[in-house]
Amino acid sequence: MSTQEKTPAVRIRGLDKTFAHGGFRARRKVRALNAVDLDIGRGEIVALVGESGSGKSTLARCIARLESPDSGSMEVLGEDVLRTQRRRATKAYRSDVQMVFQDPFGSLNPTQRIEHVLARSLHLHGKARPDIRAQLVELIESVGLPAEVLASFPHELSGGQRQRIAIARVLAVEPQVILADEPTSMLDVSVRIGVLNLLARLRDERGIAILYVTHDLASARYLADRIVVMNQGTLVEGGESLALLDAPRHPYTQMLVGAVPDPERTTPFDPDERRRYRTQIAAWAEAPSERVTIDDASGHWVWKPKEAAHV
Amino acid sequence: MSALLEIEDLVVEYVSDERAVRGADRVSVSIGEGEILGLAGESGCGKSTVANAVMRLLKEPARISGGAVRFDGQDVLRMSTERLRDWRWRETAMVFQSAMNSLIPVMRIGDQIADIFTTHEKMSKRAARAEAVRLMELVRIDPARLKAYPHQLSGGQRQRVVIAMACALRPRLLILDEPTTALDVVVQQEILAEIKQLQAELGFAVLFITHDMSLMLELSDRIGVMYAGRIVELAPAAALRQGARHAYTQALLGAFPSITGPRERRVGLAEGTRFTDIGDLVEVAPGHFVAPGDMTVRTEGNR
Amino acid sequence: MAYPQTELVATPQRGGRGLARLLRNLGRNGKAIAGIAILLLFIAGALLAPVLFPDDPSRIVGGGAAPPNAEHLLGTTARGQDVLALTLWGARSSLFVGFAAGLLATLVAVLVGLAGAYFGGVLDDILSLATNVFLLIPGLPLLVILAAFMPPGVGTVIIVLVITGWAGGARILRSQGMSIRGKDYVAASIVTGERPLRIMLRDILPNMASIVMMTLLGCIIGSIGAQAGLEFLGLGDSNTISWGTNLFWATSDGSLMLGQWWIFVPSGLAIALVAFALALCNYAVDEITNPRLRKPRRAANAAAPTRVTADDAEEGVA
Repeated sequence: MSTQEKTPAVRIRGLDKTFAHGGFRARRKVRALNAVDLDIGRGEIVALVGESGSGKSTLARCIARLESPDSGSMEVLGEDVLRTQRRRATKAYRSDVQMVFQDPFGSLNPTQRIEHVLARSLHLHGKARPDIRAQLVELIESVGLPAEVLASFPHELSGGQRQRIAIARVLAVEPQVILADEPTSMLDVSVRIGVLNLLARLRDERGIAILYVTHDLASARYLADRIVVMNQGTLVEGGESLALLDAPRHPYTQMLVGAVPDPERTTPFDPDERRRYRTQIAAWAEAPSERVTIDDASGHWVWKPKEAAHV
Repeated sequence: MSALLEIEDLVVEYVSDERAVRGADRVSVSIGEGEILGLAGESGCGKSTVANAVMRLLKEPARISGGAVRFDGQDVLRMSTERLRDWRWRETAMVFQSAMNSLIPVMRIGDQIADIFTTHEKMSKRAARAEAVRLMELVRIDPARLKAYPHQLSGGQRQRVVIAMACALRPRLLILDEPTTALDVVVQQEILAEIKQLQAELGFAVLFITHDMSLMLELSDRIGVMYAGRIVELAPAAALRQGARHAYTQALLGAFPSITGPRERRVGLAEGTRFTDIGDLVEVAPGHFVAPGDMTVRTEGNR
Repeated sequence: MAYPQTELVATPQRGGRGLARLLRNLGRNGKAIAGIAILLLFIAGALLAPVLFPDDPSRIVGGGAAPPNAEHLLGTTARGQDVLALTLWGARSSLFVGFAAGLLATLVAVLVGLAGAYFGGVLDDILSLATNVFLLIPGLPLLVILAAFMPPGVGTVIIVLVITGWAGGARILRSQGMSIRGKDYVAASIVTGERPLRIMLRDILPNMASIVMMTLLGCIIGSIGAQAGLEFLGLGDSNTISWGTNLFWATSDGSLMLGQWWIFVPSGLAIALVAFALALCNYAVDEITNPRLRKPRRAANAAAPTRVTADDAEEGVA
């Protein structure tokens, strides 16, 4: 793929993040990210798939610099930002890297009109044109909404509309990287595809690199060029979407693929098989592992124990 | 197949000072013994309203203002409070949305389950505890967990407990309202397999409510699709899989891309699409009913 | 079956910003109207005091301890001062100090609470410590000590009330601020590149409007009560005329013991009524912002089965 020849938009190496829980005495540590290596190429959509609590949101928030990783390096658009922008992200970073949140009902300030929200983004990054009204109309129409919604408050709009506005806010600053954290999981089913198609269009028309965080494997397959699978903070498998899902090698991925509802499926659920998967997943998680390339063409790799007999 | 539950022209209204909104608008559907009927649709379509109306659990300002609900021939809407209390849980039981979060947090699981038996069957505490153990084995949870509090169990285990509680008195109809929405896909599959197994063992009929069409197609015998309080399509699952007839059903099915097969661009429902003047169901093929109506698109359309 | 038709999109309704919407809803709420009406009555009385009683109300105008009569509507005090005049003039000081102290205390509470909530870390630890210390110190003894040591005057009273009154509000505002801080729209503002001050003022504060209002009303009630308490103990500025000092003189003149109710009831009742009116407003704000507190249209038994009103079914089987 040609994107591998150019510098990736985001290059993460060895990212670690641990959260400390609980109070005075019972302080528990939760390993949210464990030595994460990830590349996101320009004009590429990478889906980060995992169950809830797997750490995938944490990774997105680290890239958005809402959280700080404990260790590791993060090169965004060629700059090693954890070193050069140590304490706080620069304005330029905020212009290059943007985020769409999961909850359309929580990501817009209830007391602000839509046009204010969007105009603010434009002004902050000096993208406001003299004909700002026309610019706002262009912006709102580019996400498939009519100009009338500019005068509305968030509570007057539907979830799907709010999410499109969140995307419009992101587009206002003309980013090069968009982090989409479960952007459709709280939307009504029939409008989800529209939002996903919009993200695909942004990749096609503007060459934006997109990290699509989701627990829904089917939508990841639909939207993303590449998929990486995360289990308890560790990336366990990755590769081109169709190739990976057609022949998953890691037991966790296999379990996930087998669990997606499939009306065409003929074999009934086998609880013993499920138990075998879980045992194998636990065993693999304990053993010291390495990334093994399965197929160079599709970039399919799997994180497996070092002396595993065969996969 | 004799109908176990018959819903005929059910109308549920939410009444405020200014107006009355129909949560369910002349809904007619029936469920046979041992059948799994799925009720699909998005939030606000009325599927939960119908389910709660059947059990007469809706609170003010909701009221049932039309139609009939018959269970095994008995008129549910005319039942007295005592008869209703008897009927509920014994013959029909319900698992609510995020029911796993509605377990009493300060009471042990075992006590909560035993409560069902001491209340409904007037069993002694000891007998009730024995039944609780049997129920735990039915849903494959270690009976030792009966001593635990809800927060000590995982989400999936709690949901199993709630399902076990619903099955406690061997009802003939089990209503499940989005039983797996808050759970991960892996746990979801396990819970649904459990439900299928329970159904095979105990033989109850199921009214299964969800917005996840692919789940519904996998699990249900027949499926009803609801929109704005009306049923727009009612057909056996196989028929829907082969070809849905109503535009809304097609949009719903289209929203769930497949995990296998070629990757093709899908088109969901355009922002602002509305279906209006939904008529009564018309049989277009044996057992396959579709509602005629109009569809209007209010914005620029799909992009 | 259906041909997609394109319809004109209706213009969305214009809603109001947080505070404007709140105020509009207040106008429709019975409790709010009652509370505001009572407050306006007292404020009017306070403003009209110089008009109705142009002379110094502490002037002796009649016989001592005369019960209400045609000449003195609320009678006279033990020294022969007109009680009604004293009450109306007293309103000026009590209301002014109460509102001023309440406002300032709320301001301090907002600053401390918001700063702690937004910045977190060491700053939050320090501010929380300060808040907790001021909360723990018993209010009345602190009031008494401060009042005893500072020079007498209205300014002192206000400062003392603010020092002892800000902490409770700060605690609540901080916790509310923290819950809003965790919301996605704050994260979205951070990611957009907004500066902290702007986020605090535009994102967090407007969404706390109702809590700030409630804190304000609570602080005002507290200040009026605390001021009255101070003066009742004789620690206020004895030269001012306020409800508290009226009560102080009533006690020291023995009116309570002698059962001369017309001397102490008006001022006491005034304090109670103003506090009541403010509490009504408080409940109204709470009711508006928390829809669950609104009274249900029909008081229904929570366990009753759904009402069936179909034509051929029995009505309201319960």
